[in-house]
Amino acid sequence: MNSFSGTEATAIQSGAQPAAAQRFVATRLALDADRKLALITLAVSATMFLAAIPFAKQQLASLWAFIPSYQAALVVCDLVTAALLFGQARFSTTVALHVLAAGYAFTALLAICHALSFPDLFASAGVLGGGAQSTAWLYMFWHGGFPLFVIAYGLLERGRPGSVSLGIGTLTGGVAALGALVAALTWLATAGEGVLPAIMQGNRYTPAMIFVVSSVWLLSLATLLVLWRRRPHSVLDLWLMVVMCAWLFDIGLAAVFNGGRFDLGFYAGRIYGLAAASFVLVVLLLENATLHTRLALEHERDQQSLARHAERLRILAAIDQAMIAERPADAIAAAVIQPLRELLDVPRAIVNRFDLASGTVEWVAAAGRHRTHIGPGVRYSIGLMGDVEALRRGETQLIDVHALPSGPEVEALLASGVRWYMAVPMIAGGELIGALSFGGESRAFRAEQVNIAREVATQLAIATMQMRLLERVRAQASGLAERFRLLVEGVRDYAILTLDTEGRVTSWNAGAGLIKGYAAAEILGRHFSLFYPQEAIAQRWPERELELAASQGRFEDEGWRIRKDGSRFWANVVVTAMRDEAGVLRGFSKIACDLSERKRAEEALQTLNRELESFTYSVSHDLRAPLRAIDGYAQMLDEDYADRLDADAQRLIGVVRANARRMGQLIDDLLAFSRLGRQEPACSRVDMMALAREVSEELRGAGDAQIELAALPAAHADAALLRQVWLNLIGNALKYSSKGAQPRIEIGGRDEGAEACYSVRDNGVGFDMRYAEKLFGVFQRLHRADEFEGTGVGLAIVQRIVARHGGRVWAESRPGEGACFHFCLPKGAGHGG
Amino acid sequence: MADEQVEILLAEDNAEDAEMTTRALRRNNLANQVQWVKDGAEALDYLFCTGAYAGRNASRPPKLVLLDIKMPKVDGIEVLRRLKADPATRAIPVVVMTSSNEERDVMESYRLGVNSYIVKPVQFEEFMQTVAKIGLYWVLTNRVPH
Repeated sequence: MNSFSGTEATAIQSGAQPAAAQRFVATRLALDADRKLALITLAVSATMFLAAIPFAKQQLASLWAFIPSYQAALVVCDLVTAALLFGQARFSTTVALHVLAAGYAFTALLAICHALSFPDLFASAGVLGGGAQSTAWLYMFWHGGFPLFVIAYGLLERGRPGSVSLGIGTLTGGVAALGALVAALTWLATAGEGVLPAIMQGNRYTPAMIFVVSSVWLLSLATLLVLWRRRPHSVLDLWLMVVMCAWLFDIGLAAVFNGGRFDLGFYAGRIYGLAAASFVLVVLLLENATLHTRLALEHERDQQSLARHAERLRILAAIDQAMIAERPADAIAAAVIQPLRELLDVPRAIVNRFDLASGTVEWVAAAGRHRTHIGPGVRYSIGLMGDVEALRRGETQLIDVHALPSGPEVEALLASGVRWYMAVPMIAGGELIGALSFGGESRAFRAEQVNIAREVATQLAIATMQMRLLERVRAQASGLAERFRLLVEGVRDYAILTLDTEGRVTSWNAGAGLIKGYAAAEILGRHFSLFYPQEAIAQRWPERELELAASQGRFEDEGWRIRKDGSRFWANVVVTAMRDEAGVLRGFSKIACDLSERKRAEEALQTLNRELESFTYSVSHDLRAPLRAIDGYAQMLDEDYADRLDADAQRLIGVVRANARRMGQLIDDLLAFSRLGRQEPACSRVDMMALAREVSEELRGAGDAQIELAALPAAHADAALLRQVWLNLIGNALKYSSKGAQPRIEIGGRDEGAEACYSVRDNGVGFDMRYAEKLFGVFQRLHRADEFEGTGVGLAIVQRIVARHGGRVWAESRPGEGACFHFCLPKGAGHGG
Repeated sequence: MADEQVEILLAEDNAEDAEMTTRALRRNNLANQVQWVKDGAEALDYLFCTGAYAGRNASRPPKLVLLDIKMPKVDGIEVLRRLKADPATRAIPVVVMTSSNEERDVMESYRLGVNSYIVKPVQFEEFMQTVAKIGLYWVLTNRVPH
């Protein structure tokens, strides 16, 4: 995230150097601008120097006042320079700078001593005593010593700032050493004057002077070379070199090219000396001022930037908070639009919502310098947002209002002073919801503005998305709740109600109203013990039901309940505890059904069954009694009058008897068949082999039919009913194979996993499969009564018994090839009846 | 209504059933003295020598009473009660022969002291055989006090 303001250039300009090092003259690397200035200064100095050389020996008036003022200025300059350098040295903490500072301090001190020793200045022979040579020698020490310090500075490591830390002890020692050196040299020049060769004669220079002066001059030149070699040059190095050049000019004019004191060279040289002393000082002072200004400006800029960032964060935080509080996206937009506009520092900012279906855009919130517009209303074409596809991809659009097709909206924009604006897409969940647009007169939009707008746009998009999701979820939830309510409400056969944790009714459905007799309005809020008879309330049954439901989750019971009109009914009730995800009890649900009807119906059914049973019994007896008489009297007739009845008469009697017997059989079969419809099979484990064998033995009697009995799996069934099944099937098999030569019955069975299957096969007459459906119908026969006797109920009985056990029966046959009857019974308990 | 020894008193309202019963008994030589009464009142009259049977010798009770339950006027249960309540007639063996298979009738009959309870077979042959068995047993095999 690059925020470039365009005015902070130092970081970029200097490349590798750390910002801190750049702020100090001593460490800032010399730039071309600095070099140019130095060269110009040098050129000017050189020109003046060259111009002055021919006139150096020109004698001028002796301005004694010149010297003290010049010296004083020099001392002050040097001291201030030393102090400033020392200040720089504290930052960079290199020994080199300390040495340089010491050099300037040395210069200042020696200059003082020089001035004090100057004859006729403060005293005729100078304050410090000494002879005519003292001052000159002091001058030499001064002008020779300083270059030595500078050489030392030049040769010492530049070092990194903070790499060396000189303690107070070292500094004090250094200062003391410096003082000692100055004192020593002064003493040498004054008291030890005799030791030194004479270089002054009156106000004239001696020949020895030339040698000394030349040495000092060369020393300065050497210093220049050392500095030159100290690459890369810092600004200080640069100006030091200028200083050394001036130093050279100074010495040249004041001691080489001139004749003595108070000539042109003397004055010019000293002026150069002063200039040399002030160069570095001026540079340092100017740099300080520049530095100070720059720092102040930077500080102010940083503060502004900080304030902007803080505002940006505040706006984003405000949006986040509002989202967490589930405030609607529009409200959030309205709240942040004005601060946003101020932060972006544009004349106008607008939060737009897109309606892609209709191709329009709508203002959610807009802020101008003077007004804020909130809410729905202003709509315009989506074309004003630029390339919608690009927006969808997440690209910002820069719109030139003049380039838009003209229309009322464009006119309005221009009228309000918007010529350029940016549209930043609001995308959440991959969907383009809208855009944040901001702009004004100017085309220039900073990257920082765009970034702020993006961040806010994203947040607003998320807020909108969240709001939509919340809406959808709420709608779904309430839709579901409504459907559920209708579902429960619609149930009429069951009372479905909810209770709070105390047992008071909180909801009531139609079934509850029907069963218990109360309308919803009159029962809500009342305690459910209202439905219980007095004795149950006395035994605290309602409370106990709730306790049991709460502890076990569910409680089921049957008991008496009271309706609104006071009548009792027998109810089956299930109470379930309702808990939320945390497991906290929220209430109870109660489902009750009125079993009174069922009970009455059951009782009525049982009564009906009993009545039907006795009715059937009595009917059968009443029907059978006359049959007995018919059959009996016919037989009596036959017995008593046998000799008087011819064959035909006897045949007639036989028919009478046969029909009477048949009718009796029919009555029995019908009774058995009807009884089966009401009977529940009493199931137990039945040894089918034993049963089938017993029935076979009973039925075969004396006949010659061959009955083969294979292994039969046991069945879980009603033995008595099964006996009936075997009776009918084996009986049929025997009957229909009786006309054949060798009647043969095969009884088999197999275990088919979930079922036990049995079969009875005979080699009798068989039947036509086309009529197989009729086989198990009541009174349906596939053979005539004179072929095979039978009532046509037997197989219907078999089918009914097997069906009551939940099994199935079927038959297969071919005429003349016998028949095979199969039946399967499900294994295990609990089959349908 | 002579003073012949009536061996069997048949109380039966259905004429056919009566005839068949008598026939069965006769076939086994038990029908020589069969008195047939058609309802409970007549049965009581006979047994207690009242009404139409006032002249009967009470000292000669029948050896067996075949009693139908469903009879008009006075039903078999009432006859049974009266019979077993009176010390003079208590010892007479009573066999209820009825079409009723209802448990309640059976219970009541035994409670009143019936000697045997037979449900009339529906088949003619069986009917005849059953009557024969009853007669043979109760008249010939069984001993009653004098």
